[in-house]
Amino acid sequence: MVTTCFFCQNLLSDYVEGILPAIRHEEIKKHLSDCKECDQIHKELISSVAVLKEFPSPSISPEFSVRIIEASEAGTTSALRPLRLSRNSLAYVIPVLLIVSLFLISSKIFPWFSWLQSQSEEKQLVRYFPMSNGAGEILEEQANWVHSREPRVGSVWEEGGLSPDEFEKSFQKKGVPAEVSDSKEEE
Amino acid sequence: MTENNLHTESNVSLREFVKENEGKLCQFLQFMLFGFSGLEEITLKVFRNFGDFFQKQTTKKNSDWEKVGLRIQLFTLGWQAIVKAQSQVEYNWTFGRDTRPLKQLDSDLLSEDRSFKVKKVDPEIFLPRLARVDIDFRAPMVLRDVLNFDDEEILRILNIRWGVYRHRLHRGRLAFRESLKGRQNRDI
Repeated sequence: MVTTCFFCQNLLSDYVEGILPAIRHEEIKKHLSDCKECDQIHKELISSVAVLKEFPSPSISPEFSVRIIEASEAGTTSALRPLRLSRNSLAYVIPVLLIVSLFLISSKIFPWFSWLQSQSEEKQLVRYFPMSNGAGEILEEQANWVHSREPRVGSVWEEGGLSPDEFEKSFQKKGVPAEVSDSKEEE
Repeated sequence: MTENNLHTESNVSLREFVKENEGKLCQFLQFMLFGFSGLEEITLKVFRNFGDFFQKQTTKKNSDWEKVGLRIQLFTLGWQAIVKAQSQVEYNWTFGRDTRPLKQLDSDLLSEDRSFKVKKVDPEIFLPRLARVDIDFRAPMVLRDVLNFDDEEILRILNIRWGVYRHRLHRGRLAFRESLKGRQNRDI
């Protein structure tokens, strides 16, 4: 395989660390001995890695070290701290609250809410067969109560009321109207 | 030895663990967030989040108590904080290779007459040069070459695959080399 400069320069890190396959390693080695530019980059790469490895570790002041330990241990008492709602939690909580409020307020928007309310079988039976589940008795009681308050007076125009003959008879029983009786007395 | 003894032996004290790793994490954050004003606050926030994680870990049964796992978690939190802080700064990303000719901006620190090997590496000189490297390429380089992490740990901290890691490591080294030579960085 012909090793180009581009190919060689892309594999230099692997070559320096020695993780290339043996054949490829030999190819790169051969190319580096032939090409000055790639060899220069190779040397500079080794130098720059050496710079990185020689970076001194920063000294931390004892005060900052104490603050770091305090901060890490403050996290351990998170259960005792007051609840702080983050933006992420609000993003979940607000829509849920809106849906729950709508759910409670209008049963028209959520018709299945009324179905949820009558989950028991008895309630459903009353809902779909009210007359055979005690509703008839209740209606009868209510009708009796209304009738006792306002006794039904028969009307001509209602079915089951007074017939026209009975209506006339009721007048005859009560007598002639007052104006007619006064004119008869004057005569 | 019973299971309970094993469990208590593998427990790690939070304070001891923080003391062991605070230097490395501070170095990581300093190298990645060079020039940021709120570096101390970010560091403290990372440790606070780690304390929260540690507390949750203690409440779990059969939790991972190994030091390696905790260190990976600590540095993952650090990396997340770095990404968040960087995203708040105006950040230009150019796709593809920049083929413009390189310009000489500063002195060449890799030249033979300035042998850095003799002198001790001065962070005040070298850190600004390192800061020119893009953070995506700088992170694996710092973790590998400066902090001496294992490859597997780096993969888990940065949450990237092996090929991506090797590519970024190499590109970071090349970019750092360009920066040390005092040239304008290529947007690789």
